[in-house]
Amino acid sequence: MDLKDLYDDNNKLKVPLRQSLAENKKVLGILFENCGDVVQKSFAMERAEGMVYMHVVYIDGLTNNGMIEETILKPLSYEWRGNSAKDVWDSILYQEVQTADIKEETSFDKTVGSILKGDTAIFIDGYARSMIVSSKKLPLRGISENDTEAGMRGPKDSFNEGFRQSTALIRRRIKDAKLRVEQDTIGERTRTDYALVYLADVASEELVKRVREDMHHYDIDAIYDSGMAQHLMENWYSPFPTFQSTTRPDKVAAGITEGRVAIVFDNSPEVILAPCNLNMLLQTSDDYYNRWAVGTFARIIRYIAAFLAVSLPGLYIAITVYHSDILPTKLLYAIASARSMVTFPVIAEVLLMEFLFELLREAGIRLPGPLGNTIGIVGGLIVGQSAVEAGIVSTMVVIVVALTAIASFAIPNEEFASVFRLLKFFVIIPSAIWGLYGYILALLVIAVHLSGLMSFGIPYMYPIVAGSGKRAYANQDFVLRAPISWMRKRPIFAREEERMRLKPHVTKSHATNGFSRPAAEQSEGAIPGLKPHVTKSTEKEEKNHESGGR
Amino acid sequence: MNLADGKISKRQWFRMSYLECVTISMMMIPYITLSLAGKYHVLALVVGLAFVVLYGALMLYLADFVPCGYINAIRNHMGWTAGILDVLYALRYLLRATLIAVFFSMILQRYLLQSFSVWWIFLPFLGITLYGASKSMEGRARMFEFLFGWMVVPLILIVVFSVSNIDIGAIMQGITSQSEVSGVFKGAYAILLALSPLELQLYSCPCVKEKDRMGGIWLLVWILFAIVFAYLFIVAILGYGWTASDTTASFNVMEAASFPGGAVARLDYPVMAFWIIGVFAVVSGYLHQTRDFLYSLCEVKQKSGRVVTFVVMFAGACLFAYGMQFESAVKYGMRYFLYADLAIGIVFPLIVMWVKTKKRVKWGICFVCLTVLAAIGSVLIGDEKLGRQFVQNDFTAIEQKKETLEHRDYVQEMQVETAKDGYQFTFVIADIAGYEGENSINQTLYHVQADSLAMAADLYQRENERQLDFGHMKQIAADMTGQEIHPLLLELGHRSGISKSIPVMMETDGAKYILREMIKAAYGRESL
Repeated sequence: MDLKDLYDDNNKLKVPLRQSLAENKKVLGILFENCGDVVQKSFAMERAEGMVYMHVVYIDGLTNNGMIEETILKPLSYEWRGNSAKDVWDSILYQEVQTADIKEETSFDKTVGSILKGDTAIFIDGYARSMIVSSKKLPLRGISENDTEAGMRGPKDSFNEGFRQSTALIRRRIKDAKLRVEQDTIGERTRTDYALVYLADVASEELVKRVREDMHHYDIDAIYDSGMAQHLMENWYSPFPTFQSTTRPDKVAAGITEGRVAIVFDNSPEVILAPCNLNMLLQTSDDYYNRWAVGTFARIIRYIAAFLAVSLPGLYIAITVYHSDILPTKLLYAIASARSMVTFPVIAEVLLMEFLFELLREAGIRLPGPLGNTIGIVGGLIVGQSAVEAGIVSTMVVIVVALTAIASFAIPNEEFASVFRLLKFFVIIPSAIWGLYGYILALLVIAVHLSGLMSFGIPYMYPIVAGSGKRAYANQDFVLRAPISWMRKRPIFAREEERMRLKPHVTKSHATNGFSRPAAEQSEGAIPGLKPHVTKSTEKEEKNHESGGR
Repeated sequence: MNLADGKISKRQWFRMSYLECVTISMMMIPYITLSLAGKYHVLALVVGLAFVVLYGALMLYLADFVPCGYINAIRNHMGWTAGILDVLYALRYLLRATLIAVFFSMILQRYLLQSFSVWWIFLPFLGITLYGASKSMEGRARMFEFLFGWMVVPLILIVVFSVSNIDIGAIMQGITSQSEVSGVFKGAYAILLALSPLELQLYSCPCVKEKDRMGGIWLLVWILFAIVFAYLFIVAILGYGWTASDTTASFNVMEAASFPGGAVARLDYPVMAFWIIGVFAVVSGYLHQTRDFLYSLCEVKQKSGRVVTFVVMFAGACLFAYGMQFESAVKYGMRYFLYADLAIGIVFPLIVMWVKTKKRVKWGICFVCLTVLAAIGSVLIGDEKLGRQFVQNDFTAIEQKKETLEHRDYVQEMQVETAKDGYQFTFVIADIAGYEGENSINQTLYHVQADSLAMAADLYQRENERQLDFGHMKQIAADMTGQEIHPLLLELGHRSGISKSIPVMMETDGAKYILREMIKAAYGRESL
């Protein structure tokens, strides 16, 4: 018997667990041949009925060795020595091993899978089963401050590579028994743990089922990051992400309470959320933690930034090459004067500067922190200024490229921002060929593409499209971030019967204690859409909502 | 929650239909009504809009009869003629799409891309509209729900920023031209033709979720409102004469808008660029239906079949566009559009509806054949003059390639006086080489004698090897009488690169006018 004989075509162990410990040990020996980090130890335990032979397997470095000593080896071999039991297996499982996190396993494949994840497996002679003791102690970094999605206000923690830590960070925020953490593995070789996290009564069954099915749609050998699994489930031809990836636990928790499904992956600090639309990718957690006016203003800035990030260089080329009549006369003279010193045509100038910027960005990412800053200064200031003085580019192009870069950094989701940086080139080329006509054609292609994109049954451009109808309540959290007290409904992808998320309580004390009453209690209609719960008017209104549009 | 259910919402349907119907027609109707009906233009407009209401109501009514879709109704009820109808409809819509796309490319060539061949504008547009047409009805509805704002907001801005240029007197002014009563019917019919995209309701209406009759009524009301508003707005800015004299005169109203504070010197270019979206709506609408008829005809299910369909559509549209360069093709094409196309669009759905209710397939087949024969007859004996002016045979560039902005000389002011042969032009040209942002700028003068401004610009370029740019001209000084300046004004009216908002100083009598007003007056005297 060699290694190949043990596995089937799907890289799963096909051999069963046997009663004979010797046979099981033989299989383990083949499986873990030349694996220096795998610890295999056989014991003979003295019991009243005679000697019991067992075999313990774990991986050094992934397990808590002290815990194994204290909870398995010491009790079995010393504390319960000479113990009499009807059934040795049950005695060990329920009495002797001193840990709560122990389970039986009947499959060899799953047993080995558990060992590889850092658990300890116990095999006992005479039983075609194994015991799995959770003894993981994976090499992990601690919870660090979020540096990719930093915010001024709100929690600063972020997910890390630890699967259980990530799920714990979500649990910590949603203390609801209906929070489901549905675990599975993906990757034939890597057997990466992942979990679908959702609220059982809020997320639609259809959505959960579809995410589940999509996760099982491919058999892949390895998944190292959530990004790989995400791209497996997305349209290959679209540059736009149809999942929202984030390292912020509060964002994931908010998404789950809205009825979305989060997918947490082991070894990945990015948790992905579905469904997702363009609007969500331009939102930040700060928007909700700050006052609504401030949040709304920030969003408007971001929408403008997103538009500039994709279109500014193209627009500059279109206007300067073909339609300079649009420019105010003095600005035109200034651009023409600056351009008269430049050797290259506008398109070459812009492409050169954009390429330089992307080069600097890429170099900045690869270099360690302090050196990254240096490259920014060298590139931005020294090379830029020299290029202008040498007549390679004009000052106006430097301004345009810098503005575009700043605008792209204002987009909160890095994955999304990089799409905009890519599409900028897609806009530049037709603008250079056809001027404003080409510019609009390029934007039109992007718009048509975006309008057709869907994320788990939700249009990507929602609520700009399909957001009409009273039932949608979509505009309360769009460019305008309505006051929290107005946002009483969950988004449309939540279950219909669980759309209500804000139900202000009416208590007598509020009306009589002399303090001003909360907004919810003031006259009906003073704040649209906010009414005390369980009243006739609310019921009537709910009926009306049922006839809403899409 | 799955929002992709193959149905469209009322809002999506309204926005899509509105863009399909209004975009082209609101720009064309003022010209066609005035040029055909002359002093009876109001009557022609009223009759034409009445026709539109009847036609629209008929299409909406017919759409109610085919809840499973018009194409399916043809397939289910029309027997062996279903295939013929599929071919005819596919050709009709492809032809319509091509004609609109070519016409639109010609407008863009004149206003935005003078140095481009019409082909070079038409082909990318065709490619993108085919991409738009590849989406499902639901996908298209979402697309236009999103794009509606892109089209409408710039138009509203144009109206807001042009308010100061509106001259109510121009609307009240009578028309003195020779006009015939038959022009009323010609004008009214042309209005109906311009709004023939209403036929697309046959396909979009059955997909509407929770539809009601009020939706259709509101759509027609809003279309009429847009047409009447655009009509009055264009006439108030350009006057009857100018509007009636130039196929694309309506586009000059965009130029009349001025952005507050002068941050954007001219708004017509960006707005015209956004107008592309409206044209995209109607052309992709026709191509979408062409696609569906071809799918139905060939029972396309596979991806490869879909790709082949689009290649065929692209090739077909290119072939039609190529044909427009030949006089005989234009002649028969125009006859078809004027006398057969609309009639087919009305008669065929009526036959399908009749066959569906009465179950008389043989009679239906006879009627289809008769309609086709009548259409062929009208193409052979009709008169194409009515629509001839909309299509030119020349697809080549109308100007040479524009140099980049630093290689142009900017005319700040133009002085013009009569000379022995034509005009004596003096251009005041800005010297941008030494410009460092001061308020003053060095200027040079250039004198040239020529028959027209175009010739003067050409002479300058030959001599200096630099192009003249009139886009930033601030003033014209004319030392001549109104009669003498008349031909020059007509030339300026046609020239898109010159702002029509600049002042003209008449040195003979010291009067000061706005160029647009002078062109308006010049056209008024000549044409009407």
